[in-house]
Amino acid sequence: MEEKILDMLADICGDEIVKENPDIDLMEEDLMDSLDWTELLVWVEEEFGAIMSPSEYTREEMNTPNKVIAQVKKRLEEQNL
Amino acid sequence: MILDRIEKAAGNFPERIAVHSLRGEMTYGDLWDKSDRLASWLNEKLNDSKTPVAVYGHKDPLMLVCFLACVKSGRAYCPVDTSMADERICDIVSTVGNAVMLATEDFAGCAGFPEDMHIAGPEEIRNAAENCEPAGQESWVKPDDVFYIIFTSGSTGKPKGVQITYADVSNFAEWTSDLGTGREEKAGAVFLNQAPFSFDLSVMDLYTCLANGGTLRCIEKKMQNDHSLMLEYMREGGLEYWVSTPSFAELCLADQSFDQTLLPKMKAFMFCGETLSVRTAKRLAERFPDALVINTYGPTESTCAVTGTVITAAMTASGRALPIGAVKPGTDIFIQDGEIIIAGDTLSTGYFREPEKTAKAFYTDGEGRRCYRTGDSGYFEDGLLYYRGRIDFQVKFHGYRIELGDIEQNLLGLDGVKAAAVIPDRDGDRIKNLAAFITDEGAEGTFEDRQKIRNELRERLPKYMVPKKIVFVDSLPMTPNGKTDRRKLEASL
Repeated sequence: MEEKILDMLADICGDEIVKENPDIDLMEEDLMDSLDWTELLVWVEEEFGAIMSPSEYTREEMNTPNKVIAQVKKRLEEQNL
Repeated sequence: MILDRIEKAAGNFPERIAVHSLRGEMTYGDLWDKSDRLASWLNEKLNDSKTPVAVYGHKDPLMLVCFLACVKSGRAYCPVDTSMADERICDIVSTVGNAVMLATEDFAGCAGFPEDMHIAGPEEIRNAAENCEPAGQESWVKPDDVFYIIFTSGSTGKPKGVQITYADVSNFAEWTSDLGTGREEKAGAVFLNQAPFSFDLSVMDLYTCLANGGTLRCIEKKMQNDHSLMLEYMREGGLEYWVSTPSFAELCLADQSFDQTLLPKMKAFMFCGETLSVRTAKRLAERFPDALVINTYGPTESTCAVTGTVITAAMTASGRALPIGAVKPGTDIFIQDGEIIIAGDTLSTGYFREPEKTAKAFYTDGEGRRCYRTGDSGYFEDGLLYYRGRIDFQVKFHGYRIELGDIEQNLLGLDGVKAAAVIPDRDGDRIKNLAAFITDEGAEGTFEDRQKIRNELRERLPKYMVPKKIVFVDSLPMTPNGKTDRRKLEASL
């Protein structure tokens, strides 16, 4: 799952740095905007069945690849998926 | 005419809110009166010069006062959004070339800004709009005068200003007032404004709303980063008509709470600016069973949109691409060698101070009609127009029209860049990103090198034009006739 999320993040950000440095700040480096976040969350729902609405999260809670992975895992556990 | 309709709304409902944003609100009475007074200030300041006036700001109700003041003083306005890169603002303001710019928020200027230009800031504008004597109707723009100029991406790296006349805007608002639902239903309704005023999509919500005495509810750019705040702002306003790109509706649909319970008064979603997918139309129909979904199409050169249709369940069930609409009254559209050609009563007079570009894009046909070559490919079926794609190197990305050559020219302006090609990175028919292939002898291909290119481009171009993917190559592949082999580059993505 981690690999899939990192692949998708690299695709959305257009840069492989997200795999090389999964603690990179995606906002500070201007690698993702609000449309990108939506795209990511829609994809997470389609790929893993985890429903994650943008309004449930602050950007700081998902501003690095590692944090994104952790939040998706947490949501999957909450939904028993 | 559109000014007469706004005047009527101001006379009948002076206390009704015309425009609302987090920066404030303004009634029809104030909008009309303040723009009258600011118009006479412009007349006094600029004497006989009818040069267009740049209006700088973002979603501020005072911007609407400035727009109307310009046209009431006989001058076109040119909206400049704060989110634009400084260099582009300078380009536009210098091209417009007026001695005065109206800035509804503080603007410090930037390198290359015309030194002798007077920037009237918010205080000066407010003061003039409250204390000057009102201007009379005799100074209003005439039907064939330019009403606004909106700058769009140009293939040479410089934006070009599309001139739209008073008659164009008036004819456009007459049509949109009856589009989907009748004007009786639109009277006094609440309209969503999503696009910045420098993007011509905003013409659809702004003038359909004002022509019908409605209230315009403006979503600020920064609000889009806080979904809870944005959805609450929409709910609180009691939205009835939605105008946006399909991408923005998708952004909202990502929230499960975005449905008819949140916005029970929604009557219609009106889309323009990019392809409306079957998926988006279906999801909206499911979440808002009582609202219409309307697809429209048109280039900036034809005043925002010239075709429109209500999307039916049969259309979304067919599994094929959605139609972009039936041709509006007063417009002729025909297909020539696969290209969509537009003629009619909302066609631009051409590009501001660009006679060569105007002559290239506009022509008079054998029947004496003035026509515009859209560069779009399309076909008619059962009276409805369908879009196939672009016939040149222009792409639509998140609703914005982008000339790939514009980005390439700006890349070539960066230190060290020897050659550049920008290619859309596609996922099926959808463009997911832009990719730039660059030869730069000084770069080693590190993340820092890629960020340097992106950051330098952000200083020159709007954010949506900055390619996310930066690929350093030794040289660009060539076709046998010496052109950049774009297909090969696209295949490598």
